[in-house]
Amino acid sequence: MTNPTPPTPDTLTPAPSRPAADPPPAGGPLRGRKQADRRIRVALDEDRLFRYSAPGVVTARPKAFVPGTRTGRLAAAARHLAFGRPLATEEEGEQRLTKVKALAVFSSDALSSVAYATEAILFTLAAAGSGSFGLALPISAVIVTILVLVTVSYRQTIRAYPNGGGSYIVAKANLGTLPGLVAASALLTDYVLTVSVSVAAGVAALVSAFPTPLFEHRTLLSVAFIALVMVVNLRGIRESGTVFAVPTYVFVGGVLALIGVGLARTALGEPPHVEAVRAVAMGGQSLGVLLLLRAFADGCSAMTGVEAISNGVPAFRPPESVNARITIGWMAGLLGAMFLGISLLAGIAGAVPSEHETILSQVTRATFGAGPIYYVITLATTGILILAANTSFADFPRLASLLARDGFMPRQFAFRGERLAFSAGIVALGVIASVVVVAFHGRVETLIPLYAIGVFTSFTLSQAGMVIHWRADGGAGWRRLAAVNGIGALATAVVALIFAIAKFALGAWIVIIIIPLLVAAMAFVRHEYDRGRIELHVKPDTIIGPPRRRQRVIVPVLDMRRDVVQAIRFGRTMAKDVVAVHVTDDLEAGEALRDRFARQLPGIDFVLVESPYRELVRPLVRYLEFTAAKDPDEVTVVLLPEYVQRHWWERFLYNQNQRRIRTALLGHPNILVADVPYRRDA
Amino acid sequence: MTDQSAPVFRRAVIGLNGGPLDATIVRVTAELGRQARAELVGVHVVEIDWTLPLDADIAGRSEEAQRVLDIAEATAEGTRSKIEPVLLQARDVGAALVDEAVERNADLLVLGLPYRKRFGGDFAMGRTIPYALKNAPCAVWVVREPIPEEKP
Repeated sequence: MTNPTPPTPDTLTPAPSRPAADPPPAGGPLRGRKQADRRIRVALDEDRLFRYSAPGVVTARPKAFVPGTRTGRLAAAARHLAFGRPLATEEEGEQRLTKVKALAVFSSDALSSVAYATEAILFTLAAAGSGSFGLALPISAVIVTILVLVTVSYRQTIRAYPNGGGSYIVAKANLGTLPGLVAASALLTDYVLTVSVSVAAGVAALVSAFPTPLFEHRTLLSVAFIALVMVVNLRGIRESGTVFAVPTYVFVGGVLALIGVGLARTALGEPPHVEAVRAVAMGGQSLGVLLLLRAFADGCSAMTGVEAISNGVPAFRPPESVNARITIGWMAGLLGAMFLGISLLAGIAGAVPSEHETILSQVTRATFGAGPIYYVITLATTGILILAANTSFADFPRLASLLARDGFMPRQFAFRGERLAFSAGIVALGVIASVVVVAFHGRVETLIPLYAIGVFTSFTLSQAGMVIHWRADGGAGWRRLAAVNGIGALATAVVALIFAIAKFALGAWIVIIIIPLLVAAMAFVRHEYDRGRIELHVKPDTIIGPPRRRQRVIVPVLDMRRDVVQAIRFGRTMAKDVVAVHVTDDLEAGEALRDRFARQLPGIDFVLVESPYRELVRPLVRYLEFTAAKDPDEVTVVLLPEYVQRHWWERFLYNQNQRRIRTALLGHPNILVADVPYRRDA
Repeated sequence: MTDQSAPVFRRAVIGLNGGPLDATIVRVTAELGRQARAELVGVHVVEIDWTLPLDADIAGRSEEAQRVLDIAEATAEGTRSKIEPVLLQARDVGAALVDEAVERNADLLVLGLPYRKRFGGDFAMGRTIPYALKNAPCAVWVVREPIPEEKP
């Protein structure tokens, strides 16, 4: 007789699909299958604040984060209404992106810059008259060539840093701390300007379509859009692929269709022609090298955002590095094609720089007329430009958090808020970008001269860092790889230099001054944190024994009151030496109080400090300092009786002296200050 | 012919005794039941001596009992599963577990078995597991810990 084969887990027959009986509520005994078998279900406390999660570890439950006061709860409710409910760390889902979605998410900044790059060139060439507008196309071609060099170089950066290789990380790792800080400062400046320029350009696109009501309010509109994007980011809406994809691909599709139709019409002998545009005043300047360089530098704003994909490699689906390299190639192809196409069409259609209508708007209107397609492309342009600002709202706080973790920025920038977003960085970016927009009256053409110098500085440092990386790596073909990055670094260094020279007087000097100032500020912050770390450092081999210093307790008293009695009783648990100190300008009343203390609180020393000038706090503080100085080996603990107020307005009626004493004693050696709260219903 | 696509179990009661095996059996059960989205119920039984009334306030005041259930919850969350914690007071742990499994129409009861020897050297299973094996109408899994290495 053979033994039956024991069942394996996979062969267990599932139970018949009977629904579970609703378990009866906790409380009364439950009957078992056998007569004497009974059990009680004990109700678990759902209001607990903490949960044991491992030996020696407790986890705060959501209830632990609920404010204890009604005011606090109201403030929290308002915050949740504006920004959404708090998110636990586990809720940060790792949503990997396909190449198509990643192109939209990471390239919106780069692709959107074609909306204003050609215009920026024409605005500068306008100084030499409309006859120079034909140079926009060759200038664009040179810029696209540099774009190809930079893209090839960044493809190598992606391969070398599959975990994300931002300029700060690459420069710091390969060139050292100072170049890393320069790259970081350049990036931070660039992110601020990206927000300002993108939003201003988005508003300009909107104003082009709806000039009458909107033109006068473009600065206010820009600030409103910045605030909107800031709030959206504070809610923690991160790389939502679908949100980004729609306006990005509508924009890309629209611009490619625009170029296609425009060129087709030209080939058929019916080129688009721009009409009824109020052009800016044309200058009579001669077309010199400086003007050409300025126009070239302005056009280089088309390359901002190219590095975003190399920063976001971990967000790609596996194989991350391969997909990221393919995507950056797509991006460069689309960017180059759109930029060249718009520059070409602008020349064909006779578009002119105008404060009232963007070049893209003019060309679109000339090609498609002022019909639905025009409005779709215009709105998509506004949408992608706002999304381009959103990319900075993701990257600025992330870079700030890295800098904060390395000690170069205040620690607040390293913490994530309730919605898993780097709130400090987001708010800082929103405020600074708003200030910039207001200072430059929301005009794109005045912001462009500041733009891109930071980008090209960080490009240069990143690629130079890659040269060192390949050299140190020494793997097969390292010379070729280093040469590619080296050529890229040289090209972008030349562009950065051109920018600095050509745009210096027009506003680039601001950025050239800001970057070193930022570097100095970050170095100072790091110096302060290092100093604090050294002062607070505990050597690993130090054994800390029990305290050997004595302590005395001093309780400032106004009168014989319950809060004073509570503080004195607490003080008696800490030390044998407890002294009550009363400051007065009325000796007779003081002596009466001493008698009362002697009768009702026996064993407590009572010191009367007479204050001829009627001050309470300063004589007390001086007395405490005098007492503490008598014996440096003794710690003086000052217990301040605190009467806990029930209403917010009572804080103006109580505890004022305690606050002043606490402030005055802050930082005194050998003096500790502690509050002993007394609650009325205790 | 067994249906290989059938779920392993739909509802499992896991007996928690506060020992080191609790985390193991919760993890194993959660991972095996995840595909079928099985419901997990973690039950900790505090045995009440006959000298005390059954409804004596013992388990509710016990930090240790709460800790057992909390750690089971945290372990389940670590495998992205949810476990319903249940705290019982009863005269006999085995009977309480089996009755709870019956009440909830569970199709699986999971118990951890530390490796213990009786005085005299024989392997000891205690009372709870033989009771469950004998009386539980549903399937019973017993997970025994590895035999500890003997010290020289």
